[in-house]
Amino acid sequence: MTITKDAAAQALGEVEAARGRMVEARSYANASPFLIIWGAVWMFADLAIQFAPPSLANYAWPAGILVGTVASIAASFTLPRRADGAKGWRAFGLWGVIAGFFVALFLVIPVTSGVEIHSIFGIVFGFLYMGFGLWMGWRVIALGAALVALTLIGFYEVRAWYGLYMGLVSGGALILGGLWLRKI
Amino acid sequence: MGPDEIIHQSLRLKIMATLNTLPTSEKLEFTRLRALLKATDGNLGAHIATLENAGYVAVEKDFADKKPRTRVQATAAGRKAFERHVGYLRELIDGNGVEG
Repeated sequence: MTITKDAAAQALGEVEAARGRMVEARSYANASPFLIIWGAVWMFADLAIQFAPPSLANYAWPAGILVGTVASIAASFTLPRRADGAKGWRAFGLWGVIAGFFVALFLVIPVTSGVEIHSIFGIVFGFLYMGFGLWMGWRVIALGAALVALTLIGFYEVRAWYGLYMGLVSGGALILGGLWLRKI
Repeated sequence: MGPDEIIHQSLRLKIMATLNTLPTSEKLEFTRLRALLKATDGNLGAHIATLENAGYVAVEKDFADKKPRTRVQATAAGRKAFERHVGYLRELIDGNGVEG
């Protein structure tokens, strides 16, 4: 069997491409359940804000975050164990960093309405997804960009039905995005 | 050290590269592998059979949600052979190996 240097280089290129596709597919598959969980939380909480009495609507997001966090922890146990298991704690640490960021942000920037707070969450998470997408793959970048665009459209164009719009469109986008990531 | 003639074929090399990326205990569904490699059923099945006969992959057939499922996993021997072959290719490119 004769292998030239050119053929060897081509073969190694194929190896790297195949590895890259597998790594991307695994990243998508791992992210998928979390997007579906948080899309469902988003949908439930925003629809509650739109339609439930204020006394109940005020608890919609705190309850949703609690349920989403528990569901995310449960989903994380279904993922294949990493060889470097210690790094899994960084994912939980990331939640603390994000929560701290928002607390600090709202201490500095005064917000006057729930729509503003909600839009900031949508925009920040959309850009976070875009950032993660630089490592995970273009589908996550597209999902983040869609979230930012949908949030801005809702903020400027759909104020009267903001909860309904964000619940169905943005929550729905996350759920569909999660299902889309599994299709590879 | 020479090339591994079984692994070097283009699709088999991609199969081994894909499976070798997974943790040792993880299996990959045939349908997912087919989608990742953009291969046809028959072509992929034939090359997996070649790798299985060489002891480089293990194939497991079972049922999931009452549907038949085929999963493939690189064996320890397959992982070693793949790494050896990739090492050979790298040496060849670096000029330390012998063509042929």
